[in-house]
Amino acid sequence: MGEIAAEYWKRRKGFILAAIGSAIGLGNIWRFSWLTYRNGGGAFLIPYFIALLIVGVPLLILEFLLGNYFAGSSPKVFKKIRDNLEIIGWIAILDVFIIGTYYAVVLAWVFDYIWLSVVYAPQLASGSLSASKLFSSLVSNPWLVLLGLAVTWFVTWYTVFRGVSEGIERASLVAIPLLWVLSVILVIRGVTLPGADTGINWYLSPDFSKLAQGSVWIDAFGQILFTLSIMAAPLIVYASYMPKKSELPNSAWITAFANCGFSFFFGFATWGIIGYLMSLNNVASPEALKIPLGGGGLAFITIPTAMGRLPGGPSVAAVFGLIFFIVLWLAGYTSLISIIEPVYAALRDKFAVTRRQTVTAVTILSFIIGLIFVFKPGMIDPVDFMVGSTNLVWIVLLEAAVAGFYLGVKKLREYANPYAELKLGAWFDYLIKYAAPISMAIILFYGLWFAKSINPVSLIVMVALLIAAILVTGLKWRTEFEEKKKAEV
Amino acid sequence: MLSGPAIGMLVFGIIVLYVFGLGWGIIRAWKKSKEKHD
Repeated sequence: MGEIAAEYWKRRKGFILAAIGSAIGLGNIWRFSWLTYRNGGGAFLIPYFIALLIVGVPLLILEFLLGNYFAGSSPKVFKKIRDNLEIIGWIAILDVFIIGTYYAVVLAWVFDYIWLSVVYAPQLASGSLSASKLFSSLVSNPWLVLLGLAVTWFVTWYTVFRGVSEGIERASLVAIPLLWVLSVILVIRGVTLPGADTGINWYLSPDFSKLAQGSVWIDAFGQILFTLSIMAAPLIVYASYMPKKSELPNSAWITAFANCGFSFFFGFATWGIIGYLMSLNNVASPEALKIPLGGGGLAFITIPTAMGRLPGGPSVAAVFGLIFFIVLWLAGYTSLISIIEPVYAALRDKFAVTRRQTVTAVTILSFIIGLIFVFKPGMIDPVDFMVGSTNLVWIVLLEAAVAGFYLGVKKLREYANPYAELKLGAWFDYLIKYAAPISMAIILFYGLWFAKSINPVSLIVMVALLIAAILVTGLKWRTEFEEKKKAEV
Repeated sequence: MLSGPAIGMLVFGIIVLYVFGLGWGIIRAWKKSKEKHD
């Protein structure tokens, strides 16, 4: 097998925007503001900010340092730390691969809504079609979902296929600024609607007594982990494409705050719209609307309902529906790119395969596996419970513990500090060695304890993932490790 | 009208996320790149 030329970002800005693109996803739009509302309004910002500082930013810096220091994907990073740790890297890679298969299906719904919200704007505005009926008819029509899935995968494939600087970097340089500009339009529309202040009061008015509840802190720490794309895979690979002697800690800082700032900002669009619906329906609390205030329900039911009732009639509804779903799709698309790239990078590192063939094969396989979720959307939740939630927590716990106690964080600090705009002190070691693993352990315990029962599908996925990780770990390296062995002989 | 406590948390959010966070990070990067060019 031939040597594969190393790829790099052309500019630091491209790397940071790609990392922000990985971090900003559907959850920033439909989860953060709902969590804030549910957990004491503006008071939630306090645990959220604390979690960001003591776990989020340090773990993001750690992933950047691991990727750049070892110049490779997660399996290579863990193998270089110690031979028998390679499997952790493969579990992380297979985990994100499975996430990609259903995440793309949700993005397919979003893609279909881009045009459905325009085509059905008159019916939504006149009330002859309810948003929930539109959503259930979409989900129950696999052919429509397949169309959205094919387009979503095609665009993602093409982006990753083109490579780091020509594909991912160029896409991020366009998609992320566009995402912000379109979000500004939505926020301006949201906050200027009649009754928007009522909704924003519900979003931000603090109830500090809630901070005494452990669940509020768990939600804050969990949200920080998930929102920053800390999964021991995408950001490790993205940072490996920065040249050695690059600035990394401040890049992680900027990425983290741009991501969280976006969530906070977008909440004004969401709650302005919810306030508008409250005033239209003359109700005193958001719950009284009896519509979803977060999650997919917010995007696919509440927002289209509100769009249909915007002042200005169907054409205004069509324009704002279009903008909202483009924003949602762009947020998801830049995350999906960061799911496929580490899968390719891991296979390249181990098997010396080429980008174009591997990315094509991984995309086709993801599309085929995704058909399960197209035809059985009910499978998404149990699979997500395991790979999109539980697994990420313990994988990151292991990552922090391995870096903290085995590799030694000091080594990474000394590697980064000469070029860092944000110098890492001994505080960084304590946060990685203790704060991060302890937080992860509490989130994991809490999540499993309150899961009540675990769906058999979750367990099957878990077993399949572990078997696949063991098998792929057992395969021979065809790249530098093998060459090293030969040289030693 | 936004309530006083909501305005307070709005200002808190802007300060911690945009001023202390994003703004400070960008200024640090800008200062370093300026030093390099000088």
